[in-house]
Amino acid sequence: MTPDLQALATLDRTIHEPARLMIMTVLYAVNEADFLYLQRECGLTQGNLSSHLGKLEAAGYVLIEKMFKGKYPLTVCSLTQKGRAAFAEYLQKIRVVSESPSNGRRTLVKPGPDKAERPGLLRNGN
Amino acid sequence: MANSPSSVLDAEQRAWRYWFADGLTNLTVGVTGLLFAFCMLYTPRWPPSPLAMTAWAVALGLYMAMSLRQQKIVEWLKARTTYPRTGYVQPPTTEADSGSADLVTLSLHAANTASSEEDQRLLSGRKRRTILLLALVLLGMFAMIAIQSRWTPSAACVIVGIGMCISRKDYRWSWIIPLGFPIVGACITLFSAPLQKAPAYFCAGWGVLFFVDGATTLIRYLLQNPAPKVPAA
Repeated sequence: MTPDLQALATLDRTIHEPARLMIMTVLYAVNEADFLYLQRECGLTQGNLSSHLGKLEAAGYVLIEKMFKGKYPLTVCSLTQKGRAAFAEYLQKIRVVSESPSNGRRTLVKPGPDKAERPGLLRNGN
Repeated sequence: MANSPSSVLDAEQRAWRYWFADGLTNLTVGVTGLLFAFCMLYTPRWPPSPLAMTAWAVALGLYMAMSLRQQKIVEWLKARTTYPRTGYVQPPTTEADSGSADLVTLSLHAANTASSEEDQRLLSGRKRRTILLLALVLLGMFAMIAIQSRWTPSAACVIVGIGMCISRKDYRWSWIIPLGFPIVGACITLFSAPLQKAPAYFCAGWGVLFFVDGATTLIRYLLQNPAPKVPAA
């Protein structure tokens, strides 16, 4: 195993899970979003999103706040400094592996009919 | 992979498009344009009647308020229409901490969030198109003021229409806006509007086009996203 590949073993498993990766990606891009927006963007059910957000919050990556915009209550989620740094590190590791010369011209992950990419499984899986 | 935007940029672009998806931004831009046109067209003559003076002062005050606090007004409207329906996401200009959601601030702020080279290239393209649009709008306005010819408003409106066409996808404008400007210019020319009032008519046309575009987008959005049912207490 090359050192580049070994870097894959050190990936943050809290972030690496597909549903949590989607949530982190959205929050990294937009700074803060509410529960409903995340649900629509990630295509997750309420329960599933709530569960994943709970895990990210427990890891200290996500801050969940209840607030009001006008008179409407919103559950606003945002990345903490720790979460932002962890996601940046995760992206860096993935980039190093995927752009490594030892991988030649082939892509690390070949897109195909992977079952894990089906949204139905994402909704059911945890 | 190298030629496609990253997932982070894709999420950022989706949030950007979401800001314009309900048409409220265009609606407020349209109302601001109409108020400005009203102030330019109906300047009270001396001695002013109290009613005309009051109407003019109210319009000017509203215009100033809407220009300076545009983002706050749009957010206030969104809190009552968009957020309960499809959710809240941080507005694109929040970090820039600007009171107005103008195009340059939106674009420049977005360009700072890019991470990879491809992301930078895509976002700097948006920035370039925005600057080009502003340059064309200013050129059109300057031409209308400086060149006193019957055909100047038509030419200026075609120039602005081209600018709107270039930036159409960035700001989610329908074809009403880029195609409407040449029509506005043609109307100013055909109806022989006084040349000194051409900029005011241009602003009125601007306001009408953005208002119509914003209203149609808002209606479509509200039909596609009905209000959530509030559970009975």
